[in-house]
Amino acid sequence: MHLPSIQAPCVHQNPDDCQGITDQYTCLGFEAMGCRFELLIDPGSSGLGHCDSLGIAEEMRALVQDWHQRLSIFEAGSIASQINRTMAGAEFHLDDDMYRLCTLCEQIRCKTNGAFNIAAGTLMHAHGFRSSQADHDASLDGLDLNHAFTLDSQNQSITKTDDRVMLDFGAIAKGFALDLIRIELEEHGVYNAFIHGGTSSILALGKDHRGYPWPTRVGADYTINLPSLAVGVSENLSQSVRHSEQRFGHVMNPLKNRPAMNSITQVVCIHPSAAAADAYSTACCASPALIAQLYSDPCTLIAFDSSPNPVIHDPLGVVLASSKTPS
Amino acid sequence: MTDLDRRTFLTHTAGSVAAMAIVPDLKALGTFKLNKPLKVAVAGAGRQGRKIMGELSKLADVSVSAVCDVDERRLNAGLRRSSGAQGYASVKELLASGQVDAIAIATPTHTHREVAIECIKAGVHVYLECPLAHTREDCVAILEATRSAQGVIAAGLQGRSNPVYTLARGFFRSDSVRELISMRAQNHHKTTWITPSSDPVRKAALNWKLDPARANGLAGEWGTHQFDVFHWYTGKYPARVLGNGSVRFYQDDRTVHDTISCTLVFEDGATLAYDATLANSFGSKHEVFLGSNAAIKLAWSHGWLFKESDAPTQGWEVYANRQQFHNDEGITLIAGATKLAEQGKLKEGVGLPNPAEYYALENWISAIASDHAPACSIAEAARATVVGIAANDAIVSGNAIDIDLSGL
Repeated sequence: MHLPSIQAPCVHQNPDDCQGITDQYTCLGFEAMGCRFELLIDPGSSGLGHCDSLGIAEEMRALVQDWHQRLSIFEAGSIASQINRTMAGAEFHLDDDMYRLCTLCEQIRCKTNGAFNIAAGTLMHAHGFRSSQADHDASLDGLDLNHAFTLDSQNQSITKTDDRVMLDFGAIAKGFALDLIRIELEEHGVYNAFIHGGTSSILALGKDHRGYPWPTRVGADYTINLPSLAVGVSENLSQSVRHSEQRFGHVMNPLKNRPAMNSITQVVCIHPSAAAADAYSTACCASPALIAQLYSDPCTLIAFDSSPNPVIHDPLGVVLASSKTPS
Repeated sequence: MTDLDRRTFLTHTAGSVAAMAIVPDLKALGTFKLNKPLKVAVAGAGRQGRKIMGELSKLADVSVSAVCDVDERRLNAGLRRSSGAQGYASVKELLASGQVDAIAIATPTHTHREVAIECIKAGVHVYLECPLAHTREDCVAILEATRSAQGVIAAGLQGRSNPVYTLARGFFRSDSVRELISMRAQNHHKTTWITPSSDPVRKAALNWKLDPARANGLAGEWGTHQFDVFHWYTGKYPARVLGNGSVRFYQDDRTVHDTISCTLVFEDGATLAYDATLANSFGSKHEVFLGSNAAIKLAWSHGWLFKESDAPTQGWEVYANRQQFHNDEGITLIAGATKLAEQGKLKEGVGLPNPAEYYALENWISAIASDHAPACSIAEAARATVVGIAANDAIVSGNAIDIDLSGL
């Protein structure tokens, strides 16, 4: 089985390799959203001093941590947890930022024919990825996740249609935060930067210190050159549970109310929007039929399965074989 | 500790899990009943102000109806977090609208005096972030203004409303710690303290914490909150402080120390050793009471009791949740433990579900609803702030400073 991994410029197995990176860039690493974020800012190209660029990096850290507090289902006080505790039929009012995110999620749900759905959190709970045995045994009979909740633009609210519905923003949260970071960095005059969250959500801005698009390796054989693009990676079996001798990955198929069961092991999506890249990669993992449908979108897709050659659709022209990697 | 405290505690702790009934029940929090929905404004839409908006939105019958900030970018960011709220560039305009019942003030420390007095005079309920002010004179002025206040005026020294801290104080004031030997606290957080902006004027306005004329360094901004925990527990204030500090790490043009340490000395000889740094995060933020029977460590969302091996065992301890820290075993202080123990969910209660701001704001709103005093008064905050100012003076000057709390 071919299970490739992302090798971002700031992710190094050998600490000695970091030296060049820390000489050139202001670097900040931190934990949030269940993973390690790493941020590189090229201060020279923005005319910033080291402490100022570090201050900007810390603002970005605060932004990610703020959204972690708002979206994490593991934080009892988060907005996501509050919505999940709200009874079906009861309106839950959202602030502008949160309403915008929920609207974006609904747009992507429609675009992916329901393969991406924040209500897939219901399935994560039911299949033992999130909680206790009691939830694991919960019946999903008659539950239609395409109508799991309604958004009311007038009252700016969300209403669950069924008490069993549990929202989970895990498949889009990191990408959404990276898109906000892009806006913030540009407002601070930073146009060359690289950020990743857990190596599965990546945002590249501008070029690296050599003037090249940011090179990022996908598995052993492919390098993608990122000129101000985002990458989302979804890998089905990176987390799994066993039921009745069968192993299930953590990607859920909301169209069938069960874990995704197909030959796809990993999908890499490269898109101008980090939120879309995150969501599309998950949706394609859940429903491989979607890959061909997304060919009309401005995104590059690499889908790995057990065969040696992945499916590559590269309208953005960013995928290089390893032999073509710039030195 | 008084005999009454000890008797009350022992009654509660007599050999059963009911010992934890002294714990404030988390579920009981937030059960206040307001006569009508409360319209709250937030003044200052920086990071802390936006956090306050988020916590207020969790409270029933409370809405953030207005946001005020002189900085347009921050005002817009605040409005995105408070759907339907009106935006104002000044507190004067906000108060003139007559559309608010209460106001939470999270503006820079040096602006508290002007903003708070204006709000108090307008007769609205006020929650004022701490430190109270950056000078003793400003503290006195705010305190004076509260004497004729019509609304409930609460100060944001958040240890006093924190359920874990309330629980631990019950242990401290009982026989669990016995003789207080010494105290220490730290706040280690790796951060530049820089708020970036490409506009030099805006940058100067936002970076008030790095201006010694507008703020009191780490001892004032951070220490005040932690010093108050010791004041609240012991019922005493330090008489003298000595300290030192330097810029150890951030080689920009700052003059405000990035690393400090100080010792606060109490009349009875007890000492509180405090250190803070912007250059390292080890151990984060916590307070420790060392007693002859046990130590208590408090870390805002968590708390532990570390017993001496010769300290008597109490019945409830068999039910307690424990955590190992190298050679020491801590009994986890869990708010709402009785109910959780009954449900077999004691471990799920380790750590508070909400940040400290939530409990402070909940306490303030509850005080408004029930007409009782808030957990932290302006007088208590004024005294803690003056201790913080004195500590900063000692650190900056290198001299021992006598702490004068007269008139506060």
